[in-house]
Amino acid sequence: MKRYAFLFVLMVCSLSSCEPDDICLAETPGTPQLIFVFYDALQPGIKKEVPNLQVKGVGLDTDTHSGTTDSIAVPLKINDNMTTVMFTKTDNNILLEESIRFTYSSYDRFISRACGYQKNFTTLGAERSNPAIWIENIEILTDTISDIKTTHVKILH
Amino acid sequence: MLKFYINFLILLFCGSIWAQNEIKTDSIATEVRYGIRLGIDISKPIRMFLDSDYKGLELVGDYRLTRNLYLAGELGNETKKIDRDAVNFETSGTYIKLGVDYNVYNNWTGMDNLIVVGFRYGFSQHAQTLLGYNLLNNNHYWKEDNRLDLTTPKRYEGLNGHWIELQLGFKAELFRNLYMGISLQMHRLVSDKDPENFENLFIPGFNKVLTNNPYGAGLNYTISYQLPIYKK
Repeated sequence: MKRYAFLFVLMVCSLSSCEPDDICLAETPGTPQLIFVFYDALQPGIKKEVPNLQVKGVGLDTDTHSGTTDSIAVPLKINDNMTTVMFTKTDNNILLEESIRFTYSSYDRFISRACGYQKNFTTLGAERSNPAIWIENIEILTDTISDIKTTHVKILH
Repeated sequence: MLKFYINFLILLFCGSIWAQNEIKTDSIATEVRYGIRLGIDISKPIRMFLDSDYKGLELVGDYRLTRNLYLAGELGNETKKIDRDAVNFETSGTYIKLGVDYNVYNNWTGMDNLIVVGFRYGFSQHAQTLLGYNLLNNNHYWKEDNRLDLTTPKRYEGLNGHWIELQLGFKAELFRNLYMGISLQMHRLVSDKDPENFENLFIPGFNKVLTNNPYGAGLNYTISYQLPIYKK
């Protein structure tokens, strides 16, 4: 009878163990952001920094980026099919604002039991509401946003 | 813990030594009953009582082929709802396991208890319904709700799983032809048909499916009755 008891304990031990599958690791890539790289409008092969760039989602109070840079990542709204972003550049104390509206469709891609799904975006389009202020041209390099390794949008200025 | 394993191994060894001593005196003269044993797993109704997200039924059976070898199988149906932060889903379906049981225990004359090593091939047919999920978003700039509850749940039908299973169990004859048994099952998934853009996270008869690990475990606790056919 002792043997039965031992085996029962063994069974309970093996069944109650905790699985690493239940934990979503922090480095798991989630919903990818839209990646912009800024290029020189006169020499379209060369990257060009934007002085004092401020990037803000229209409707929000805080910037998602602030500072001189030649590339940024901007999160898109996941519960909407468009996101409007205001790009502000301050050059020689002159403030220039320009907004771009991005339209897209999306689908949810399964990651894992612990992490759930991530949003991927397709058929990305860009519209400018104003005539050109400081952005010369917007080129969409890939209209599918499924990772953060590729540049999705090239902005010439 | 180590001490327990050592004790356990010693006991197993003792078991096999006793068994060998008994073979000569016991196996020639006595007759054993041959028949079909049918039963039910009572761990599943207990689990239903404890876990409101679970429903299950399992029928078990075996047929004695030789003194120690049995043709054995299980037939069951399970429904399990799992509501986690990342995914909320329900799996339901039917499974069948077929194989053999080998009794390694040598009884005293007239007794019919078993220590069983069993092997099974398991197969399930099931459906998985996605009820809701979380969108993993490392950036909360837009302060959106990442949790999505599907108003029309997405049902994936025609899924299946195939696995092999090793069982270790005991059966004790409580009254004539009435047995109580317990068995531990270790299984390894061989193949499965996953839903598109989703995964089999639970397979009836197999239990929880892990992403990078094909192994799983289960147990049953059975009450069964033997319909004797002949003695030999």
